[in-house]
Amino acid sequence: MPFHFNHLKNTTLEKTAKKLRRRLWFARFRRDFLRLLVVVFFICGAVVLGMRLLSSPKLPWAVMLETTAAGVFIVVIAALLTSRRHLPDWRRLLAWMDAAQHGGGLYVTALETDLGEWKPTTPTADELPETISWKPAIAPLLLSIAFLIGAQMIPISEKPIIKEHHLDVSEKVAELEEKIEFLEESSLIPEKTAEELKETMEDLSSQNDAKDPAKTYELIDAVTSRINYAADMAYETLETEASMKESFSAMLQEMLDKHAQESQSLSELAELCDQLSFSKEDLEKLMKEMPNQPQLSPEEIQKLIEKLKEQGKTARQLQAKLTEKGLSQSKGKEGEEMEAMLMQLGMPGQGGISRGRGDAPLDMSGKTEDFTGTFKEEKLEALMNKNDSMLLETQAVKPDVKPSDMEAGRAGSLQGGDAAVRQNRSRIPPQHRNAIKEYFK
Amino acid sequence: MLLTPEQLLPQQQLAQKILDELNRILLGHEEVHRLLLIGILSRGHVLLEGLPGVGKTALVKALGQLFDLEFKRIQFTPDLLPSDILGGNILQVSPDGRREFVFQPGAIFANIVLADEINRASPKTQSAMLEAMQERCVTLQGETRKLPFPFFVLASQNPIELEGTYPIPEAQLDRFLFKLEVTGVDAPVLAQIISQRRRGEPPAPTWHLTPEQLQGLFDAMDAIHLAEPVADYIARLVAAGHPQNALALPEINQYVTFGASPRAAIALAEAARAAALLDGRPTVGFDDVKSVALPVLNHRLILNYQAKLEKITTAHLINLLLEKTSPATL
Repeated sequence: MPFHFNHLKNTTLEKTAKKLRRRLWFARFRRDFLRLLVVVFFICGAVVLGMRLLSSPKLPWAVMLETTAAGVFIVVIAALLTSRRHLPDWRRLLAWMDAAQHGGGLYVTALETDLGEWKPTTPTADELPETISWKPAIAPLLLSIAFLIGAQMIPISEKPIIKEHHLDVSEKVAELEEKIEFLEESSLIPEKTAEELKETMEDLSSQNDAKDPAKTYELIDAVTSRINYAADMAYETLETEASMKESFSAMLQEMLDKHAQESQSLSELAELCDQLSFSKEDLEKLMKEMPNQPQLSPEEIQKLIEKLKEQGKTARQLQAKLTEKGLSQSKGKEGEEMEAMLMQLGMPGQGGISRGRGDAPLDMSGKTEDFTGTFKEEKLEALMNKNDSMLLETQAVKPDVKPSDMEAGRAGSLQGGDAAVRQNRSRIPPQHRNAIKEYFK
Repeated sequence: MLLTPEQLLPQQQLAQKILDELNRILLGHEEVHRLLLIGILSRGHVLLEGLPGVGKTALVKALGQLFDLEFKRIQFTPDLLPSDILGGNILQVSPDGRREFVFQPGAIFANIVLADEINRASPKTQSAMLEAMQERCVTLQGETRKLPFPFFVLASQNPIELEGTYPIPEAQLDRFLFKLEVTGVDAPVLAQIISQRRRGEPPAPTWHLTPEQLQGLFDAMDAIHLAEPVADYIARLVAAGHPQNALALPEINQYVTFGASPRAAIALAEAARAAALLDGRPTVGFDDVKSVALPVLNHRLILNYQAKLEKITTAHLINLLLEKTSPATL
């Protein structure tokens, strides 16, 4: 706001006011500059500290000096703007001068009317209010500088923050290798597949440095899945083989028992094989081992049956081993049927009075003992407590007195009405007891 | 246009002469005399409070003698009736034998009225008196009679012996421009009184202020300039005395129930004008406001029970207000 009061033009008051305003501006600028400098130093200190702790590369001196110069320049501009913005208008300035110099209202009146012949004592502009003093900013400034220097003196941390460590999947790899070896030894997977799986396991061993754990675990999952698939397929094949051999041996046994006295020709047996849709390859392999081909005596057929049984048993044993090693989840035909039935009966939520708990598995094991005893009537203690119960009715009943109690003079014998009264009480639930007590209080 | 130094000087000298004469008649109460004169120049009523024998009545009597104005004294008692103060119609026989009601003015029809021990009268009588103070006129039986000009009530009351008294309600206290505490004097002044005053009688004034001179002082008062920043300071000072006001200090919020009324702000401005005149200035300064703030606000801040319990006085709070409310901030 310009100093536009004509009657004050070129007066001592005007000169003093302008001088005071300039001093005020400078004082504000100096104070604001120091305050902002404190903020900048603290921020710089924090940045330097952070960089040193995080082992960031050293900044070149030129960059640091340029940054500092730019920061100081911004601070100067900001301090100039803020001090200019908070500069009081002439009215406030003269009011302050009037109060501080005990002007008796002449200075402030000079803004409103001509003082005429009144000459107020010339004020001095030397005094400034304590609120604009720059001295309180000195201590924070020194503190911020000390913080910055301290941060600069902290050595850069040389230790890497992230420690190197290997991903330990050896247990899982060993387990998988054991499974592959078993499948290979049992001839349950082709050799080529076994070789490929082994190569994959070697790759897995070389990738356990935790650089890419996701990739390692993906590989483990892929191998596991492939092994399980191969095992499942082998299990199914064994199941078919065992079933057929068991069935065929049973049929041969039946035929042998039926036609024990008759000599059977190989052609008849071949017909039978055709009827059973049995794989002739296995049979021919067995036949070759048999002497006196093509004629089969009952003894030789008995040997064939034994051989078939043995092979079926071997297949079953292999199946059991697969299940034991966790390679196959198949449970066989009977297991699947049983599981389906249990699923139907034992589904959670299907419980009831006659079926037991809803969420409990129904395994049909164990047996409930038949209840043969008698219930004993017993009054609960809570019902007997008069405070926690409510009288519903009082009945006159036949006294329940033993003959022994009726003997004259016997202590404790029941007599008269007391012995023939029965009270029916209703229990008051605990949550209602306080309310009832409060009501009758 | 402000008064010139030549125009203001006679009035300032006259006011100073009154003060000198008062100080000569009554010893040891220079500040009370100054404030009393400020009250008179502000055309306000003044309540003097002090223990018996400190010179309250003597001061008012001396002022009455000094001013060449009609002076009356009313001694307030519990059985005093409003008609004893205001006056009433009495039946009189005229020379021609006719009987008629004639108005007999009461003691209040005077320029300076000394209401001695005002708190001993009943509330009904106090109300009649205080209403006349505010309106500067008396209405009886539908007829309004103006009181003479100038009209000042200088009341006194005793802060002890409160049995059988009727404390003046705060609303009626507000009509007094100042409430001045008249205290005792120190030993050297007391020795001077003993040696110079036989039987305690003050000397008679050697000079009288005429009504024309008093009117000249009033005219000078009207020419004293109150600048806007000073008026703003007065407004902020009064507003800061109101609890829950944006400018209120924490102590005010804690101890004050009600702050001063707008009438207090007007009184403060008027009293500051008189203080400037006594100082020989045509403008009101911040220091003038500060010098009269205590007697103006003293009886207008209503303290709560917490303040009474902690022995916080209005004087303490007013000094705090003056200290914390800055005339101008940079």
